[in-house]
Amino acid sequence: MTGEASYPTKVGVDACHRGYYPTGGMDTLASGGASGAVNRDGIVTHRFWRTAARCGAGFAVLAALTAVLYRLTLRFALLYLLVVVFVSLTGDFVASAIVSVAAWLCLAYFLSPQPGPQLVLDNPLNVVAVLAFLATALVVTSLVSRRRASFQETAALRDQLSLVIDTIPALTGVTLPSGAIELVNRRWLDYTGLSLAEAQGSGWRRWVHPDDHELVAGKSRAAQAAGEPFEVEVRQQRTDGVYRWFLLRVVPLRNERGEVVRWYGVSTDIEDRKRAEALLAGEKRLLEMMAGGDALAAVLDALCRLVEEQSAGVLCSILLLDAEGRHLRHGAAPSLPRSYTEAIDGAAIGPSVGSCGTAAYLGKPVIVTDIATDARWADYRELALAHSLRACWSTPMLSSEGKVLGTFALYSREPRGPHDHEQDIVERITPLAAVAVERTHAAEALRQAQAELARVTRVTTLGELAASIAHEVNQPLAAIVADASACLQWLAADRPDLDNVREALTAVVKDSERAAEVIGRIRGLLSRAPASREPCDLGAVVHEMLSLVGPELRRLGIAVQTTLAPDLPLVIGDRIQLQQVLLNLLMNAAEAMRETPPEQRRVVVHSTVEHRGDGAWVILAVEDAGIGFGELDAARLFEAFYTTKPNGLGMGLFISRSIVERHEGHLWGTANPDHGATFHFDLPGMR
Amino acid sequence: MTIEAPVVFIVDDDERFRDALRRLLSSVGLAVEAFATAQAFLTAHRPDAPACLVLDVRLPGLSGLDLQRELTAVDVSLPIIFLTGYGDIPMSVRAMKAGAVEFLTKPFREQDLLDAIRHAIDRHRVARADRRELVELRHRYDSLTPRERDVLAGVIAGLLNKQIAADLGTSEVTVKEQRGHVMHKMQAGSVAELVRSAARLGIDPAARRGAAT
Repeated sequence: MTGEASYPTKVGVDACHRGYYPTGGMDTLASGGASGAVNRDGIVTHRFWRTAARCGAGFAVLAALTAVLYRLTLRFALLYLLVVVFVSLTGDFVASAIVSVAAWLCLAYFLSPQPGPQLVLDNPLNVVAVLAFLATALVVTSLVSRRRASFQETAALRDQLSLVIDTIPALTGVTLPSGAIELVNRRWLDYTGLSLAEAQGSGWRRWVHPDDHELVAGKSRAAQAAGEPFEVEVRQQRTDGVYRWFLLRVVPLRNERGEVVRWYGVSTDIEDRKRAEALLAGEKRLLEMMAGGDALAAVLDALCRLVEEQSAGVLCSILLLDAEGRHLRHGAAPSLPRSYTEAIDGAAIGPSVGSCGTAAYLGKPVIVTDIATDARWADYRELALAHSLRACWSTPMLSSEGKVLGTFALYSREPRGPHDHEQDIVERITPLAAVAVERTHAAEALRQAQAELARVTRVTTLGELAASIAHEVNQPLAAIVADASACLQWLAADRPDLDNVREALTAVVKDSERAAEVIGRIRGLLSRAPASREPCDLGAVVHEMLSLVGPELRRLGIAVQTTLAPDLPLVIGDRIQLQQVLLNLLMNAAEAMRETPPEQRRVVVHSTVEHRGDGAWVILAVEDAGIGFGELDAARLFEAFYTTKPNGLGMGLFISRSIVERHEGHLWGTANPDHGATFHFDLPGMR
Repeated sequence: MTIEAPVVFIVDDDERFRDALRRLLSSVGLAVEAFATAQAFLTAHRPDAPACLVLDVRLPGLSGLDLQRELTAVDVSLPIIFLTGYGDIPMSVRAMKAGAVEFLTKPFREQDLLDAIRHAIDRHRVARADRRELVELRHRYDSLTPRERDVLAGVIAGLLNKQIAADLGTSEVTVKEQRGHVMHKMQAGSVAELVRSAARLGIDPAARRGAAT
């Protein structure tokens, strides 16, 4: 075989290997050419020639015997033989017996040395001659009839084989070592729509997908070099231009010298398997995305793309029912024109609102095979037709409780219903989409509940701080009032002292800013803003919270120290939530020191940077000199509703830990060697 | 006697507020001395002038109420105006009971503070004058001889010279002479004035008479 392999299709070769090795009689392989071909059965062929050789030898002996008996010339002996053989060919024993006796009589009559009828069997030689004629005729007849039966058998076998090769659900073919395609089956011709002549040479490139050319060429080159069988998954183009996946398996056939004389190939259609595999892989990918917490839009988008890959020519659309269950909002439709998706976004559902609006309303699939004529599309017909959308099959996505979450629809640019495999895909993918949506809803609800809980505990904490905070706000306000009044006094004088006025007004501005800062900080802690992810400076967070809690700590006679590492790396997270963690730890520290002698009351806030394998981490620690925690407490410290405070909610450390963990960090407590406890949390620095 | 320039003491740990208050009081011509802590105020040398103390309730270390107690303990009659960032009734009641002049919640109207300061300073001025007068009276009383003190007791008890003489076992003339000395030494122009002075000194005429009877 030369050049790149060209295996349109190959015959199932295993049978050949088992039963028959050609021993030079390769010409017995029928070249069916473009009409389809059958390989004749070699065993029958073999017997035929053996029988023929024996017959020839038998005739030669008879001819010699006849010539000796009648002292005939060789010419007459051959004539006689021809007659006998001709008669024997009828295959009829009676006829051949009569004719052979008659032939003998004729010969005896015409060739007798003494003319005249001499039908006398007086001469024993004559009896022997008659018997010999008879026996020869019968033997020949027998041989001929057997031969005939054998031919019929061969023909039947050939027809059957041809049928099998053309019927087996595979494209098969035989290629010569030269690379020339010797034969292909009917299925091959039907599938590719090519003739055998068109397939020769590098014609294979015409039906193998361009992306697979290199793979096929490489595999076949390697197989040729090694003379080894090979298999490859390859996309082959159908006569209508559609590519389908095939598994091509090729094995070599060798002669007794071990040389490859043929390559037999069979291509099985694995499109469905491939499709199922791709669907499964796609589903797995989607589940991973969901498990990984990818955004719903991304998951739905990937889901649409998967379906579109699986089913050429359809356009996928996912619409989500809004919270009131009245309107459909855009979910995903990567291939539909934006102008279309925008136009249908927010459509109210109803008994006759296109396919999706109706499906969502009825909670049942709605299959519209022709948008141009279907009454349910009356309101959206022009829009759809303007975007060349002709059919839309929509299935409602149902929650585990059977509530409609949205719709999953396939559009087609031709007026038609869904194919079976499209229907299958919809049936498989719709529940997946529903799970994605439901999961997102659940995650959203959980997130909201967590945020609300965190907010409520912030409010509670701020409530505890109310007196201090009022002080913090009133202080600058009082200063502002005082300064403003002073200004008025100075301005009322005959010669106003403008320097004093300026100084006082500057102070007014600063105090206003100071009051606004406190208010802003409180408003931040009270806000319902969704959690954000932005770079945060933990050093700044410490300062902000100390300015908020500091007055309260000082009021309680607690000395506050900070040892902050310079150049703390920024961390990614929600500033308010991180403030809350620190706020909780500071308040806990203050609470723990309620019974501590005033001179020992102190809180130390340290920050350090630690370089670990995966980069820099910021560690923040709040150390107190309070009552500390016992072994029992240590185990339960971070449980929800566990508290040692008389008025505590028991949520502070629980929420703090969940916040820190959401920021990929850890929160833990250690007992101080002397007294009190230290709570630490670490967060990964921004990479 | 000239009117002494009053001084306002401020004790507040918030520097910015302290400065603002200083500016406000200066603008109305008041001298101000400001301190960040109660301890600093206690240890500072305070000018001898009519004054008042503007005190933040919540202070680091010694609180405003602690300082009030401390001042009462050492008998310093400095009128105190309390300021607080958060009005809390039990605390203000305690402060007022302990003699605070005013209890203002921040932010306050400047006029309220200025009125309170004026009122407090007036009160302090009167108190200071009273105190000075008392010292003077005590001084005068101390200059009396024991016999003159007895005569004084008789006079303020409303006894006649004769009765006093009888009580003391001396002559009416002697009593009359000693009475003249008392009136002079006590710088009393009339008996009524002498009675007032004696009352301020806490001399109990009844006790005296009771003792004599």
